[in-house]
Amino acid sequence: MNLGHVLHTTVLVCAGYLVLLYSSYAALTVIGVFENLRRRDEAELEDFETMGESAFTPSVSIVLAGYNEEATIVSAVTSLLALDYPTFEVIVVNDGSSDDTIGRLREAFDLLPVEIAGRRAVPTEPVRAFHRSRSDARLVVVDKENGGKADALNAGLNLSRHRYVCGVDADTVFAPDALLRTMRAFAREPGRVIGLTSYVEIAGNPNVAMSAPPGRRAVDDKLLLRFQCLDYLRAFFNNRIAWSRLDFMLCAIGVFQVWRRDQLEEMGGWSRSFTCEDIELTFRVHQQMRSLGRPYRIVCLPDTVGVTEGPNTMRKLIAQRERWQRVTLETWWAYRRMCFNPRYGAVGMLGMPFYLLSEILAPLFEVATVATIVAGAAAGLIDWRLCAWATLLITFANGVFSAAAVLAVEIQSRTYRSSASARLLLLGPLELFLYRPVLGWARVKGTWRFLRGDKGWHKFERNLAVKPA
Amino acid sequence: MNGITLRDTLPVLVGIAAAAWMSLAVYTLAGRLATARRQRRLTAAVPVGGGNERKLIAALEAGGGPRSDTKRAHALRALARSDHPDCREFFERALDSADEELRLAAVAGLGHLAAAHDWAVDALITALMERSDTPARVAAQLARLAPRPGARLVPLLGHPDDVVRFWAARLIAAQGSPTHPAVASLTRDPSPRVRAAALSALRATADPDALRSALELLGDPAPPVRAHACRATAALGGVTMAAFLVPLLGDTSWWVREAAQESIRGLGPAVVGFVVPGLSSSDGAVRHGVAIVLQDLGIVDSLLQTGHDHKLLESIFDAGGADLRAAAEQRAAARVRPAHESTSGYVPAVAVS
Repeated sequence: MNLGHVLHTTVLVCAGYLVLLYSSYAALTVIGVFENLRRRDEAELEDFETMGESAFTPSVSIVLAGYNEEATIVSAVTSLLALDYPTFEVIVVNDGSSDDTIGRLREAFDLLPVEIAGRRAVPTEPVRAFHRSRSDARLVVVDKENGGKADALNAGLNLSRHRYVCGVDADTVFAPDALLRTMRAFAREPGRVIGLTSYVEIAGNPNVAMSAPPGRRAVDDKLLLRFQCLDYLRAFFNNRIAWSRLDFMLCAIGVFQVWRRDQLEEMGGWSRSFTCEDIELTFRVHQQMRSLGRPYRIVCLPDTVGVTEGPNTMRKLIAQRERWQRVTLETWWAYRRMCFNPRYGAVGMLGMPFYLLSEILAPLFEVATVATIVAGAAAGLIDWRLCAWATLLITFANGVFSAAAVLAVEIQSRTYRSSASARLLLLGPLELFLYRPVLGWARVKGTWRFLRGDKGWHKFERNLAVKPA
Repeated sequence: MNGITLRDTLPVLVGIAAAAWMSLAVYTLAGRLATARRQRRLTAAVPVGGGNERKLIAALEAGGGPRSDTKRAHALRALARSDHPDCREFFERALDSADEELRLAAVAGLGHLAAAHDWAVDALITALMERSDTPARVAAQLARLAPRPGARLVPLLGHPDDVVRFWAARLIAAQGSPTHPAVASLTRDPSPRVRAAALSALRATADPDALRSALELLGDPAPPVRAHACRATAALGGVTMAAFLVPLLGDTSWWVREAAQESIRGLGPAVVGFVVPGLSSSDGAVRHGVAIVLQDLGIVDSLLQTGHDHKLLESIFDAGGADLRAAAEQRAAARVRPAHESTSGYVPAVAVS
């Protein structure tokens, strides 16, 4: 077999992969549009006024797990305490931070050390101290030994007193109506919906982004953050909304995940054995519920619940996406028996194969494509004209998917001002050249590290500097 | 690879993709105006008697299909806002609809109309009795109307379905008026959730039998019932009941222990004399619970500040353990105010339901 044959075969395989991948994206985008319209109608018809003042609205324990979050913790907790929701509590877990996270909280919320007898529903690392806020009785702070994010969330779960537990991240500022809008899914199907997540915007500085009202919001000045914004829009409005519709929502994101407490406790809480807790828990819940044949739903809503901080440098972005690739591989591999297994319904027959196609195999094909082009160019076997047309096709296909996502957010909540939407629409086709290579590199790096058994979190520093006390 | 075919096809596909991208982009930007118009239309009230009204009625009378169900739901909402005089039939029909969206819109609309029309209150009560797929939604509307539904809820207490009895008891508790004697009989209901709801309803009553029922249910086999019994006992009997609640600080269920703590704490510092004997209980959980209650009431901080009754303070520390002592010493070191000043806004755990 000569080089020409090898390259020919590789090109055919890669092209086949791309056709399959983009067909899946197209199908999901179409389903996402319809689901998005349905959710918009649902939200428009919802009686939020009654829900917002009723004692019968499902109560929520919000658990914020933070490690070295002194820069963002106060604004995150402040936004949580300002939520417009009838009954909720906020449990902040300081997971053995080496910075002044606990000091910032003490100063901002007038904390008082107290003894609290929590449950031991899930074992955790030892708690150093409990604190209650004198400025807001709904706030409890747990100061514990470092045990990772899953362990911190479990410590919060042990203190939670309400029927639903909402896990959130410390680098996010939440919209006042975040809980009210999303908890409607539980209120509508209380016996069936056991978990949910919702759309989170991304910005370099969440406080600045949230200060603009919906409809007047700008996109970040940095190109890197604009591309991430587009990436999030596509991930939620084209993909996750469709997964939710097809009953295989495979990742209730750590930034905002709500679970029924009894379900969480039955599952033993978040797992410490995995690098990342959110995707693993979602996979585990699917596995358990499908194995037991219990009716359930995990849903993704298109409502914007807040703005999270996105990495503002290339280095941080690569570190984040490299970790995402690792945790996806780690989780998928642990639950690989569900893939193509009809016993697991849509999760086994659609969700797991889609992950295999879009996340697991992607780095392999990315490397193969680059290698083929380089080898082909060196051997003078490349038809550059054909290559240019193929590149243009992918470019505009990406533009279409991005435009569909921007349209979806317009349909749903009309978040951005016109100029911001126009910028995002123009960026769609450019991402193949300016953004995808970065993600491709991060994925390859993540895959390599996964194969080497790296399980570290590799936390990068926050964009926001700590304000002086 | 058949290069000739691809050479012909790819430019066409690129053209289609580029056109699709541009069309979507233009549609997205132009569509912003439509979104704004839609928002205005959705929040506006429809004037009765105009052409809009005929459109709404036509939408409500139109045939099936998911999109027309959504249109009907929007029309119902608009009719309710306009307080249309002839809308009763549409709402009653919508309550029987197979479409969930339409049923929920009918419930919300009836809640709006019930502010002015008794028939709407009756329709909601009937919905609670006969259509149990959205009881919490119906109950939320009825709770908003308190105290108007009042006596009309009483027949629901004898309903054969425990879901209906549960919501009836909870709604009666939410009415803010003296509780009907029929609620007391529900404390012997076979369903634990109904017994718990009855206890929460009885908290507002002055009936001496209610306290007796609450005390009896402190020994109920179901933890949620014991938790509610703690709250009801404290609410009905006051400070002297703390002595009955102290043993529940060592209950096998965390929820009951938490409810007992919260109930005793809610009675204020006057309970001290009734709970201190619990420090010498043979049950470590009871001793620990008592120590936490005394901490939350500010007794520990007061004793630390004044230096009085060192023996009591030590027994609290012994019962509460090293963490309680450390927390108290940290508070004292920071010269904080006594906890009873600061925790006056403490929000108790919600009812276990």
